[in-house]
Amino acid sequence: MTQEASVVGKRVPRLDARAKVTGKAVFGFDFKLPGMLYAGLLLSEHAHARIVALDTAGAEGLAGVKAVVTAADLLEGRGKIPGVFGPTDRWLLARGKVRFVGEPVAAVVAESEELAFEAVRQIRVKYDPLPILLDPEEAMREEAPWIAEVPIGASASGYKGSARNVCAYARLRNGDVEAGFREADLIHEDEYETSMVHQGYIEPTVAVARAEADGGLTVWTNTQIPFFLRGSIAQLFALPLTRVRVIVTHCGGGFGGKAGAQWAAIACLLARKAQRPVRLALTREEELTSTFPRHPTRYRLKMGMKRDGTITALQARCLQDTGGYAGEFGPPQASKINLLMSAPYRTDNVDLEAFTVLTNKTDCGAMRAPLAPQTFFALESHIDAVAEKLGMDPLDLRLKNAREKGEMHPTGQVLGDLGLKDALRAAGKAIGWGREVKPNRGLGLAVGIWYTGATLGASAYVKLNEDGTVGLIVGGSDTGSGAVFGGLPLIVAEELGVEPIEVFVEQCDTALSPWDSGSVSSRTTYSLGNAVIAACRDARQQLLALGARRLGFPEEQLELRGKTVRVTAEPDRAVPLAALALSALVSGGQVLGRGTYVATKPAFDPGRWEGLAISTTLIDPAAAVHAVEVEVDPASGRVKLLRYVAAQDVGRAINPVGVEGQIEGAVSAGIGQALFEEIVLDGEGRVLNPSLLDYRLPSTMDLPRVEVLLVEGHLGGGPYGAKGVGEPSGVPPPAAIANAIARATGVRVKKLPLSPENVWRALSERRGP
Amino acid sequence: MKYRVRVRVNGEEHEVQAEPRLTLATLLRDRLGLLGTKWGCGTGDCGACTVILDGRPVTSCMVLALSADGREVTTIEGLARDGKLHPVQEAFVEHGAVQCGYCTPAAILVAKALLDENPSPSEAEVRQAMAGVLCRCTGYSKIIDAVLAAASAGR
Repeated sequence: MTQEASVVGKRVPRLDARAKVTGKAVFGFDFKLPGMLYAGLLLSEHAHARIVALDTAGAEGLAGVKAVVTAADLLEGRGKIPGVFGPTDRWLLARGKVRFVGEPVAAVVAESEELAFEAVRQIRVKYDPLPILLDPEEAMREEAPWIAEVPIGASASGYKGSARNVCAYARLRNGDVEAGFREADLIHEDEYETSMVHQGYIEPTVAVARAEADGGLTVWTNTQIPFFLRGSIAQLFALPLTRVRVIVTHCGGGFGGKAGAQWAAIACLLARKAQRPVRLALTREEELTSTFPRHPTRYRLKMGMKRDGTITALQARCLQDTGGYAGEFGPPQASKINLLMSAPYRTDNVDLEAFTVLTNKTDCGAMRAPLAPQTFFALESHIDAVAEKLGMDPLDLRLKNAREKGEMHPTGQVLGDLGLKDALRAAGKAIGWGREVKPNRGLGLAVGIWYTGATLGASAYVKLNEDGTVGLIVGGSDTGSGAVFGGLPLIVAEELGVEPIEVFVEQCDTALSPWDSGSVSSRTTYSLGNAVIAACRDARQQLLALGARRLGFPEEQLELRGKTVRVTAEPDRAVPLAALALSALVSGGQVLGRGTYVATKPAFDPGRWEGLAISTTLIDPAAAVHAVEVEVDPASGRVKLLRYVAAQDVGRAINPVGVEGQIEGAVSAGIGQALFEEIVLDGEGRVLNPSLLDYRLPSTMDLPRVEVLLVEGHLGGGPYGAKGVGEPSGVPPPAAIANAIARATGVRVKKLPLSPENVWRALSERRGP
Repeated sequence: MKYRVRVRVNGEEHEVQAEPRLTLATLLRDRLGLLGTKWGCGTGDCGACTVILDGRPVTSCMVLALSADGREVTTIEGLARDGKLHPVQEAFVEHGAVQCGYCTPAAILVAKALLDENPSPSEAEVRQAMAGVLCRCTGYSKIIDAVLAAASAGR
């Protein structure tokens, strides 16, 4: 951009807001087709058992039931849910055994949802229970029951131990930790634990599938990953990609939980058998038992430090409890733990190990910054504890060690412009770090680092309509974030000199849209935005050429402004885009811009990694630093959030309202994870709280105002210097609050959630009997 | 066994044959095609299905259609007049209070019901009134901004 931004950075309402405030936006849950049937699911009641017999006759015999499917209906040689690296270990419907309570075993479709649920109750399953493993440490023992019963990937990923339930392993090593510990004046070692939490989107997962006359499949669904979903369905049903079509509806929240193929694929299986459109909508109970929540984790950290605050060594061992299956989201996430833990603070000596462990619990998945709030709960609690031991201020200790642009991360990557120090200073200043607080109150702060999944690429087209308005053709999924409906139109407006309202954009239809990698990894505004800029600049060139001929001025003297091409020095000499677009249709061809973007993975040293090292670099790392003032009631353990500051290193805020909204939302989910969310299981592996009454999402009464500080200027490679914004602020809340509690009470709670019970227990232990 | 239910929705009379266990939410969505009333849990916990029944917000998934007989319902579709948005709807658009939009109809209706009764609420009163609508996207700040803005625009 050669001139100051005219639209980018302004507070502009998103284009889908009107449809949403009037109730006209069609969400997945609202989508209907004529003749549509309704699906019901039979889920396992056992956490670990062999399926001895499965009798669906009772369901099939019910009037109004049109199809019943089990693993027997899966295609020969197919039927394992595809993952990014090939088929995963999980069957679309359980085959032979079940590995967690809630695993889908069969599905039915009927004329009504009520009938479908009744039909499910008529299916007879005989199970032979097997020993249940609910604890990842137990699962690591050599003599633990073998959940997978076949070796799956661990040995291939370099794991040399004897725990058969380890399904992936990743280790990052640099320097010499033993030497680092010998050098240290102080060594601190401790353990931390986080629990299973759900994405908590308010709209349930829905897929409406239709079998086409040519054997193909069309799916309307509230997915985050239309193209990957298309690929998975094509794989499962042995179809070419041209025969599978995924159309994205409005989505009432995803947060990583609508990024799998499971449910759409089951809908497709039913649709093919019934030869009528099928709607599969999860109940809230099914969402909380059978979907893909955030991994519970256990960390053991050991940090060596010199008296002056220099970190001499960092050693960690993490158990990533991935549930009954490695699935689509288990093993590929393990290396994130190591990558992130070694990101914020300068130390050359690291030895970080992550083990992905199977247990008989829900197959865990991806949730807003996967493995990050867990990792930083451990790291940030630890560094606060070390600061206390050292007698050093925790903010000063962090500032002293905070990495900056140009420093080398232990993975061997030279870091880009990380705004960690600025974010630390901004958050500290805003909360009034160092001020006196009343009794039972405390200030805490914590850092989170996330990155942008910019190697997940995108393409885009822009077309000029004959009235000068612009059609933007992309494969993006908005998922509610506003990246598609709020961010992209601003970019088009900026590049082509039109108003955002004059840009039409719709979400992905895989048959008609160019590739997009999905609403994941905070990369939509970034990658798709960059592709849109490229497409606009292509269209811009064409418009400038047309304008030059029309106006009789060379292109270099022209600009796109106010829906015209005009002479920069003489703005009255202008020709409307409409005139150029219209005449182009009859001579030369429609003005159509094309753009594409995919980032190159930064250079790093693979030799520092062992095992399944997939997340090995940080593109445009973004820092989120949160500072919080809490008040703890020692009698009840209840924690009140008095003030909450969230500083985030955003590069450049394209749509500040949207960016703030994303930060505020990420904070709210982080606070939920910190204070009260937890999927609770009984001794048989059954979820005890599969409802929104007992799985408590934060309400208006639970959340403070968040003071959002947009730290700009540490530019990323996204549009106009942007970095990914959706996830970073989901990372610090648990640690920030835990640190504040520690400073308020003198007691550190090392297990999430920081519920009144857990806080009270920790306080009681300190008080003694 | 079905029963006749006569209900006035957004000013229009409707007559429906309803089974006893038909909920108001299902009547509105499936029988009357008013999909603006959302469904999030079916057990009255999330508030996404909120409508205004005789002036008061209710979770329609927990209201039997039969008990709406002879009564007046306002759904999100009933707010805009002749293409002009209600001030609360306008405020939601202007203040970035809409992200995924799934809780939005419920939030708007609860806010409207609040302002109809209390035109100048404090932030605490807004939070109290809206505690029954769960939002996972916004953290509520901009929703509250929008409601307070709509309140002062009305003064």
